[in-house]
Amino acid sequence: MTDVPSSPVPYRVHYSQRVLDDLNLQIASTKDRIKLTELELAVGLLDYRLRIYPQFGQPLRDLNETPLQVWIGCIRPLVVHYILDEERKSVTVVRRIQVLQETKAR
Amino acid sequence: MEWQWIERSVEMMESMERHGEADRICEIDYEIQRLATVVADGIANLAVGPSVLPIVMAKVSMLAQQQVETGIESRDELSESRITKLTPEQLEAARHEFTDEEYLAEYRDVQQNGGVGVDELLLAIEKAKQQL
Repeated sequence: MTDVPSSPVPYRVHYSQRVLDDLNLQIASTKDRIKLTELELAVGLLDYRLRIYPQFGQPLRDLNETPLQVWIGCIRPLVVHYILDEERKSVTVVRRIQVLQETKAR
Repeated sequence: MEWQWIERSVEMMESMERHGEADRICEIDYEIQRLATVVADGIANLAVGPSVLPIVMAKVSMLAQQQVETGIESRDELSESRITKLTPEQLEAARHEFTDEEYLAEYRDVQQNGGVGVDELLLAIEKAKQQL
């Protein structure tokens, strides 16, 4: 049997409590099951992408006196701000997950 | 390779237990028993005796892994197709939306308190669905 090549080490992804609280606020008013299911799928895809290749987004800036960089990523219909720490291979989502009503950029 | 799969399965089960998803665990246990029955029936049909079980299991495991990886490729394509780039104007607006201090305060909070994982986000959505 041939050896299976080892997978790259995924980034660790954390979300701030504020992100969860804001998400709860956003979904509290949603009465559409299909929209919630769509959101569920999008959150799963976003997390997956952040784990395997967080550079899919666009860099916003370096954070002063740290090795950290702020990025913004959009996986329709979600937009997130996250902090990328290449040294620690970690991603921290620090600002609310914005749900776009319609795609304006492509 | 196998231990990684086992480790992931154990992590998944623990996470589900934490979220009180006992029903889901029973469902998975049932599905595993069903798969075991299918494999046992297949071996019986081959009339080759239980000594081939390790070989059969190795091959079943390999085929299942290939199919799971195909599924992962689909997920890759799905997330890829949804990636959207912001316009220069949107990017410039986002750049000034928060200060370094605001980003760092929240980052440090996550470092100190651990933050939450995607499981919590998905659970919140699942609860909202159940309440409809």
